[in-house]
Amino acid sequence: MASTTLTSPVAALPPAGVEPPRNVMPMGVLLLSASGAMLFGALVATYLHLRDVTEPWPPEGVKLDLYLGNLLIITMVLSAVTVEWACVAVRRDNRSQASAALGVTIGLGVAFLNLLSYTADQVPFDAASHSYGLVVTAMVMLLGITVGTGVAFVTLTLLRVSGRQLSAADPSQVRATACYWHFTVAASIAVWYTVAILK
Amino acid sequence: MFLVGALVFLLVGGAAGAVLRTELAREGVDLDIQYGRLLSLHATVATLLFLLPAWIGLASWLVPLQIGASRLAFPRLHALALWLFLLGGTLVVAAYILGRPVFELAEGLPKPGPDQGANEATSLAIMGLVLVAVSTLLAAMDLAVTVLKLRTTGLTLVRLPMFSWSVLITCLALLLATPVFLAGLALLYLDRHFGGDLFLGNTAGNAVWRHTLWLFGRPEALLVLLPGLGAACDIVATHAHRPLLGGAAARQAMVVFAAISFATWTAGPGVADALVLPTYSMPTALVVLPVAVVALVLLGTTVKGRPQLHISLLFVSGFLVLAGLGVLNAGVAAVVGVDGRAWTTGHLHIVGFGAPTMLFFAALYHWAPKMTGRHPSPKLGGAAFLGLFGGFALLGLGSYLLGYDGGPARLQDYEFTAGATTFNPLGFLGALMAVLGLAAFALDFLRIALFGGGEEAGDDPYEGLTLEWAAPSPPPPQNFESVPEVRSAQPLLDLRTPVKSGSRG
Repeated sequence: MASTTLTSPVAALPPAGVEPPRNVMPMGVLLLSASGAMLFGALVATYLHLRDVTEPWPPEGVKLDLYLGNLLIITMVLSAVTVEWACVAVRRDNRSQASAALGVTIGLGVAFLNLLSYTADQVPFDAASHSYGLVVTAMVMLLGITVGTGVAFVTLTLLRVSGRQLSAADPSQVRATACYWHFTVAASIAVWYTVAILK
Repeated sequence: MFLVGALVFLLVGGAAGAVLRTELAREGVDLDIQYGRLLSLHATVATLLFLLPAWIGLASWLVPLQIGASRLAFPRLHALALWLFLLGGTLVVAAYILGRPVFELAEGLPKPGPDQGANEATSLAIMGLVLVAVSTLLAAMDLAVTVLKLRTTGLTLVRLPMFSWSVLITCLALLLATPVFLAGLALLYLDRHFGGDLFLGNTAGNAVWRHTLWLFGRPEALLVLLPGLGAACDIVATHAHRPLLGGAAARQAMVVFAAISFATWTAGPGVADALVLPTYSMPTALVVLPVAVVALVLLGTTVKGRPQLHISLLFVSGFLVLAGLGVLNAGVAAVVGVDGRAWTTGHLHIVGFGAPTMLFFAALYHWAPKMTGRHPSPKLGGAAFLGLFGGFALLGLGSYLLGYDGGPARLQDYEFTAGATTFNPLGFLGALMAVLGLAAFALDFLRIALFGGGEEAGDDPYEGLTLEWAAPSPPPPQNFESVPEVRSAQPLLDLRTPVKSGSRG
C-alpha cells in the first residue's frame, strides 16, 4: 500500500465546523440517575430478601404512620410538577416564573426533608434494633442525602436563572435539574412503596 | 494525578505483597508482622486502588485526545473525583495502620474482629471505600459523557478508537455496579456504628453482604481488563499501520465481555465465599470467549501488518502469554479440583492482576511519547517488561504448583513440605523480579519527567491512525490547535493514503 509520511498531519486535516451545542449536563444527570436507581434497587432488594427470611416482618411493635408517609409522597409529587413548570418557563424565557417555580421546588424539598427527619424520629426503632430497622434506616438516610443533593442542585440552578446565566438559548442545566429531581421523586416513591405498601 | 495516585498505591500494595512473600519464602522466617492485616491491605489496594484508578487516570488524559475534544465534559467534577480518590485511598491505608477492619474485600464475609463493637479501623476503611466508590462513579460518569457528547464531527460511535470504546463500555458498567457496593457499605457502616449484628454471624445478613459485594466485585474484577483490551487493539493497529482485522468483532466482544462480567454474579455465594477468587461456574468460564475473540483480532492484525518491535508490543504479548497460562491452568484445575488451595492465589496473580497490569504498562509505554514528548529508553523498558512479566509468571506459577501439590490458600506459615520448600521461593523470586521491573519503569519515567531524558518523539512518532497523534506532543491545555474533522475510523491513515475518487467514507 502506497503511503506518504506527514510531518504535521493536523495541518492536512480538514478544519472542523463550529462545535454543536453539547448538552452534557442532562446526559450526566441521566447516567448518575441510573446509578442512583441501582443504589436504591440494591436496598429494596435487601429489604425484600430480609423480609422473606425473617419472621415476623415487620418486627413486633413496629407500626408505621401511613399518614406521614403519604404526606411525604404527596410533597414530592407536587415538587415534580413545580420543577417541570420551571423547565417550561425557562424555555419561554420567563425568568420570574422560572425563579418562582424553582423556589417552590426548593421549599417543597426542604419540607420533605423536615418531614422525613420528623418521621424518622417518631419510629420506635433504630438501625441497631433489628434487620428491619437497619435496612429502613439505610433507605431513609440515603433518600435524605439524595433529596438534599437535589435541593442544593435546584438552589444552584435558581441562582443561575436569577443571574441571567440560563435562558431559552441554553436551558440544559434546568433540564438536567428537572431530570435529577424526577429521579429523587421516583426514589421516594420506591422507598415509600416498599416500606409502607409492600411492608 | 489519578495515574500518579494509583502508582503510589501500587507501591504500597506491592510493598505489602513483597513482605508477605518474604515471610513465606523460607521456613522459620518470622518477620513479626500481622500477616492477616498485611494480606488484607495488599488485596484491597490491588483490587480497588491501583488498576481501576490507573485506567481512569490514563483515560482522563487520552480519551479527549482520541475523540478530538479539547477537554473532559466536567473537568471540575473530575478534579473532585481525583481528590476523593486520593483522600479515600489514604483513609483505607490509614485504617490498616490503625488495625484490621472486620471485613475484607478479597474474602466474602465480615468477620468478628478483636473488637466486636464499631472500631476505628473498620469505620475508617468503610469511609475510605465510600469515597473511592463515589470518586469512581463521578469519574466514570464524566468519561462516559465525554465520549457520548464531545466527539468531534464525523466521529461516530463505531468509528471510535478502541481504547475510547472500551472506556465507554467500562464506565457504563461501573455506573451500574458501583452503587450496589455503596449500598452494602452503607448497611455495614450503620450496622457497625449502631452496634447491630446483622453482618456478624447472621445468615440473612451474610447473604446480603455477599450479594452486594459480588454484584460489584465480580464485574469490577473483570472490568479492569476491558480498557486494557481496547488499548491493546489500538497499540497493535498503530504499530501494524493498518486497521484492525475484525475490529467490529472486537467491539462487540467488549460489549459481551461487560455483559458477562455482570452475569458472573450468578456464580453466586453458593460457589465460594470469596469476592474475586476464581470459581468454576459457567458464566465465569464464558468470559474467556470475548477475550479470545480480541486475542485473535490482535494476532490477525499482527500477522497482516508485520509491526516493528516496540516495548508496548512486548507487554501485549506478555498479556497474551499470561492469559493463555491462566486459561490452561483453569482447564486443568476444573478437572483436578483445587478449590480453596494456593492455586487460587496463583490464578489471581496471573489472570486477575498480572494480565491486566501488563496491558496497563503496554498502554503507558505506547502513549508515553505523546504524554511526555520523549521516547522511553528501550533498554529500561525491556528490563521493566522482563521484571514484570517474569515476576507475575513466577508468582503465579509458584502458587499454581503449590496448589496442585495440595498447599492451602491464605496460610501464614505453611508446614514446609517438599512442595512448599520448592514452590514458595519461586513466588518470592517472582515478587523480587516484579519489584525490579517496577524500579526500571520508575527510573525510566523519572528520567524523562525530571531530567528531560530520552529522544525527542515528535508529534506522530509511529505514523499513528487515530486523532491523538494529530495533537502536539505533549498536548497543550486545549489539546488541538484546531479540532479536526473525521471521515473514517483511521483519519490519519486516510490522509497518508492516496484516495481514489469517491472511495473515502
